[in-house]
Amino acid sequence: MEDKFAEENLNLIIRNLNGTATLEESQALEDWIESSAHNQTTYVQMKNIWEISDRQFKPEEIDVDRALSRVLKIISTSEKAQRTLWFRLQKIAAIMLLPLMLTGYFIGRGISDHLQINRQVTYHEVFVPFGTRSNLVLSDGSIVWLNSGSKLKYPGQFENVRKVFLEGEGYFEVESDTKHPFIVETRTLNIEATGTKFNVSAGENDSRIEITLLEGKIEVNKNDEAKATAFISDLQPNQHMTYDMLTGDFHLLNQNTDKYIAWKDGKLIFRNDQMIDVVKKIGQYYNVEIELRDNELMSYRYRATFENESFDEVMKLLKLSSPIDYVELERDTLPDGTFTKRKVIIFKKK
Amino acid sequence: MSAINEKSLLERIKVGDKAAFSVVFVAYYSNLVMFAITFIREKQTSEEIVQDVFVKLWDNREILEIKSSLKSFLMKSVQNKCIDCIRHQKIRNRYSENILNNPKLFENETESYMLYSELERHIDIVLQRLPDKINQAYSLNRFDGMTYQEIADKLKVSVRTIEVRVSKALNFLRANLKDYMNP
Repeated sequence: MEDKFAEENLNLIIRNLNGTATLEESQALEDWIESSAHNQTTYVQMKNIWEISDRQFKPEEIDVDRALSRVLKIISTSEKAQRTLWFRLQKIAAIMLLPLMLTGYFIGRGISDHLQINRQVTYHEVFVPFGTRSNLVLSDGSIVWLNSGSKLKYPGQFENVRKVFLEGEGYFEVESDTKHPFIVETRTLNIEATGTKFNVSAGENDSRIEITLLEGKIEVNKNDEAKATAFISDLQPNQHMTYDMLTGDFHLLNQNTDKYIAWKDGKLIFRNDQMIDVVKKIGQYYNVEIELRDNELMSYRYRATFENESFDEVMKLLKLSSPIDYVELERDTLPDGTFTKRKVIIFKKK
Repeated sequence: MSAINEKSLLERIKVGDKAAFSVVFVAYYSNLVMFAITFIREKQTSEEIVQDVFVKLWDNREILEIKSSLKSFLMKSVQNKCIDCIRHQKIRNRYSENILNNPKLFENETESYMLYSELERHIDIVLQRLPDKINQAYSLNRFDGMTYQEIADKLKVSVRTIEVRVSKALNFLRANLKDYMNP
């Protein structure tokens, strides 16, 4: 008897869900639902399952990247209109200020153009093309920012150990979970954390790996498959580690960490950095090949902050504030009609 | 996305951080479009509704007060827009009549409603544990969109039989997923 009753209600629910119920039937269902909290929950859960089972529309066919670019564009346009007066005031005050739109533009492009997700395998891979940046949320809620030209491999769902593979530069804000360590594996080192904020720079063509810790604690281990994992060092907040892959030497520095993670907010910060590193960073950031044609210049120490400037603006400022001059080479046309990468040559100011 | 993370992302959005906004967008967009589709039954309008909700989220970020979870807030906004859209007769489908006549049956308590990505896999796993005939009837109807009549013809059984099998499948799914689902 009870089964029979339940079945009648079940049919009533389904007819409502697939749109074949009469008005009377809908009313009857409504009465049944309102008669108890248990009925209410039963109905809501069944409706939820029923609707999620609908595969007429496939989430894979939704173009998230295009939608995001579109929304960022709408937002920027409405802001531009609102801020005209504000911009004028800033100009009068002669503050060197940034086109605010640029951040959104870069983020939009970084995600939009090149999120390569393979749904067939357990691992996803994201590649961020040169000249753009991108960010993503992992299945445990941790957030990763990826710098220009970087690659991250990560599982769709973490198992016991939260492990990702990084080539290039990434900034990690790890969700705290002491039971499940979070490991960033690079070519030579593994960085282990539980809930922290840190930056790892391990480019394919770099001979050194740089790790910066902002908050919490991380452990750096050698990533050598032949041997057991070899402990290298712990890092404390505001410490910066440089690890030489050729010699295995490392240095720890206590210093302001801002400049190491500024890239994620669209800033370039230099604090007594050697010109050779400065131009490398600028080149990576704007996807421009920069050649430094003077040995003396390489070790010149430079200090500046660029925020959302165009490449041309950065070069002009660099020229104004250091003993350099530069020329940009003509770009060649490739067979497919596109241009070769921009190339700039820097030399000593005469 | 965890509660802690949501909170810090919201804080950042409030001060105009577009990177944080992008993170939230990417995390929820597909799921919200799938949710809008349950009302609208049409992809493009559903996408426009969700995009509109995100633009509003940004425009109102400074005065925003979210008391529920962010997920629930976004779903609620999408749901309200969908119902508005149906009410203003911009969308007509065989469900819209029911939605207007019996709003109580269709307006979800968004705090407990589960998103596509949270539930889809689990449905597939539980379905595997059902007898083939029952799994098949449910899959042909829900996944492939065949009507009971079409399934009955294909399997050479009565429509009533299909109706019973689909009911059994839904009942079984709910019984096995209820503890996993939000109360």
